Amino acid sequence: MFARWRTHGGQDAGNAPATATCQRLSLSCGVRGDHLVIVGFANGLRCAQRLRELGFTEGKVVVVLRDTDPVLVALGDSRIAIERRVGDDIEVERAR
Amino acid sequence: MPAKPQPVEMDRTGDSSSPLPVRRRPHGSHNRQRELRVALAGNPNSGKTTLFNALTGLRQKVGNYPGVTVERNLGSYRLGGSRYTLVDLPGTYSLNAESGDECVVRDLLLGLLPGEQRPDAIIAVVDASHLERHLFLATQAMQLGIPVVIALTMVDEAKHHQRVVDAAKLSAELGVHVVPVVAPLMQGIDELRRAVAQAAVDPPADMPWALSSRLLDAVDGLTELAPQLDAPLGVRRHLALQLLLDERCEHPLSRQPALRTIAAALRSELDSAGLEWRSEDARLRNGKAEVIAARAQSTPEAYQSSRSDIVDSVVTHPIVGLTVFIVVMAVVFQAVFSWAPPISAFLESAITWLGQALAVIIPAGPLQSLLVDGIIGGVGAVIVFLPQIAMLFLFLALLEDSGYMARAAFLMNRHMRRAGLHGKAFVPLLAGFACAIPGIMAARTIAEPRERLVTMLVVPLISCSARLPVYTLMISAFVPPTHIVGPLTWQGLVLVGAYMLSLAAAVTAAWVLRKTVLKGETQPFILELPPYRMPNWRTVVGVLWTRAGVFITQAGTVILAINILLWFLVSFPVNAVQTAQYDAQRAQIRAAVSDATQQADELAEVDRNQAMSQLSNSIAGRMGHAIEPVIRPLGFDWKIGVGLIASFAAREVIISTLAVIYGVGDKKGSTSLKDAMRADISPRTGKPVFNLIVSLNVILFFILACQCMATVATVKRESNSWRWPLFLMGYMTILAYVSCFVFYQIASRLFPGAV
Repeated sequence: MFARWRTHGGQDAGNAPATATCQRLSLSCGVRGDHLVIVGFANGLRCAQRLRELGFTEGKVVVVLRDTDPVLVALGDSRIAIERRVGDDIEVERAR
Repeated sequence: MPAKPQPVEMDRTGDSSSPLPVRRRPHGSHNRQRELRVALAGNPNSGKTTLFNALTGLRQKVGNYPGVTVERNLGSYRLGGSRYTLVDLPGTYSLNAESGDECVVRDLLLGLLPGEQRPDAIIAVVDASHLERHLFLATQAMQLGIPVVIALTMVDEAKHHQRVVDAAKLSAELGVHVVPVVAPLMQGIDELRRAVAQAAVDPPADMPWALSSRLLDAVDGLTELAPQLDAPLGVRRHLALQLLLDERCEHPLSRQPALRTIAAALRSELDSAGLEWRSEDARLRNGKAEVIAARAQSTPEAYQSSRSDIVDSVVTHPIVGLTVFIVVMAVVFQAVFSWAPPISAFLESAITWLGQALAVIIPAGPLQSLLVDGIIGGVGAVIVFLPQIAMLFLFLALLEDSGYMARAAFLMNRHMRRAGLHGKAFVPLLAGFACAIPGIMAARTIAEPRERLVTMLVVPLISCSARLPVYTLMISAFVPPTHIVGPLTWQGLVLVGAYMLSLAAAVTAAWVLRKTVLKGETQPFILELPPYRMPNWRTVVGVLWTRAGVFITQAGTVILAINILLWFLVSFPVNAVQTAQYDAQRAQIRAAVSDATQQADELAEVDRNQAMSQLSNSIAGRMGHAIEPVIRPLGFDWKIGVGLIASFAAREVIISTLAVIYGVGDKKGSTSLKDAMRADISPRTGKPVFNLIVSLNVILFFILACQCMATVATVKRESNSWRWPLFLMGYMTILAYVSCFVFYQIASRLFPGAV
């Protein structure tokens, strides 16, 4: 766990490849320090409504603060913990 | 975006030159003395409760909404000859309800809650440091057709992020009054009150519904059919959209067959049109909130590392954070278990003094006995728990208000999940160590009904403080104080073991229940971690006051009632012949013994003997005898049986009951009770009644059995049915009986010398 953070964490995270198991980039794939743009929510994600209420919208940037389970992300000034199985269904891409 | 015709001029200095509203209320009464209901709605952690306290001061009333278990906080204030009743709603992110709390907010604002009228105005609390997100709920409220005033909180926090929110601009954008407030310093409170008065007479804000024409047509089609016909169009539209989105038919209105069919037809129509209609409202609302926020604030909201993040880098760490969590919990428990008992002892002595004072005034007899033993004793049984529970609530409120609780839930989620519990379930379990009742009440924050229920059903297994005196008595009487390793004694090991076993039992029971009776998907864990804040003492005291009040009224009445019932069971029937005999003995002693001390001792001896035989002959005593065959395989005799029956009032009552049975004054300290218990020889077997195995079995029984009617009553209230409290009683009793049976049978065969 520590090793992973050392490798991918911090400012190098932008260049770090997503974990091998992540085929499409999802929020759960992010490692600490990643800036990710929300692209969409997988179909059938029941809590998509709740996430939208919390401000998760297409185009917003989230910053991964902890890549544990739950994942802890920053969305603007909000800090939100999201369970990994929810994060799996949040489609993201790397922020430029 | 089209704003309301006359955007309101905001006055930050508070010296409002505009006169108070004198215009006639459009749909109100003509009385000079007007009654207005104002609802306070806002996201969790928006400073809503602090604002509520600032607006209403101490004029608050706490209760519950009928049929649901959401706290209903009412407060009031007067302004310009009108009386404003303020309803503090539970924190919610939107009017699309998920948990029980949120359903109450939705239904109250929509006017669907039985016995509650729709509010005349809404104060929407908007946190300036999270402006965009908080506009989601605010804009929803503004579409209902009810007057809305926005209270802008946390302006100082936004300034920390070098962001200034322009209230006047925001007001112009939204078309409603926006009042910046700093509730802890009482700034902006008068302006807010005036703005509410003004909004209530103005035509309500009319925020247009931004939906595609296709979806709006569908919503309006359903609106026509929704039966809430006297509600404003906005309310009906919101309801219609909710019904359309309510594909699981959880809303009560969705159960109406006609509406259900039409909603289903409209859904498939929208689906076939290829629209992303399910997320449309939220998407467009977020877009609108982003635009409004961008115009009203000086710099856009963007991630920047804050002081809270620095703390979180330690506190949410999987290993370091867990250590911090354990330390925090240790401090809480140290406080609860070492600071509260002296206060309890003081209150208890006050109650005893009151009882003695009454005993002097009222002549001896059944009435005196009922008042002193039944009622005052019952009140005492409630009061002794109060300091611990208040202390626990104080710490929970501090942890909650400071923001730490969310971090703890974040850390504990994974561990709770393994047992099939929600991340938030650790708070109820924690509270359960003091008392199951606040624990069960704390489960309200869990949205998914089955996850909430499983939490409520396992909290009573956690060793509450009422069990501790029983453990202490049994351990100090029968477990040797010899050291095992270092400072650890056998006594300490048994006590720690009892607590560990209770926790293990709760976790295992949760796991089993989730695999069997309460099977189901777990609700995804999404939790906002609010920035750390200095707890506001008024909020903390308010929460403490509310919860302690709920405990006294709910648990207190049950404990008192059971105590009075128990008094009847142990006091009747009275054997007149025996009473006469004991009276004769007393008269004889008074006549024959001249020495005052000796006379008092001998009289006390007679009193004890009378109490013993009275208890043995009473209904409770007979019940003890009656259940003896059932509890004999556990190694218990009828005396323990009476104690078990009595412990339904409150577990520690078994001690005073045993004291009466063994004829030792329970006031003189438990040393004599211990000796009497050690010396007791069973007439049936000729061996001691108590031994190490029996006393361990008593502890085991007290860990697992559901001997608390107040808990059962609370589960009845919280689950709103008799099914679950009966299930709780059933499963815990069976668990306790079977475990004790197995333990006694095996232990007494393995160690026959110990029996």
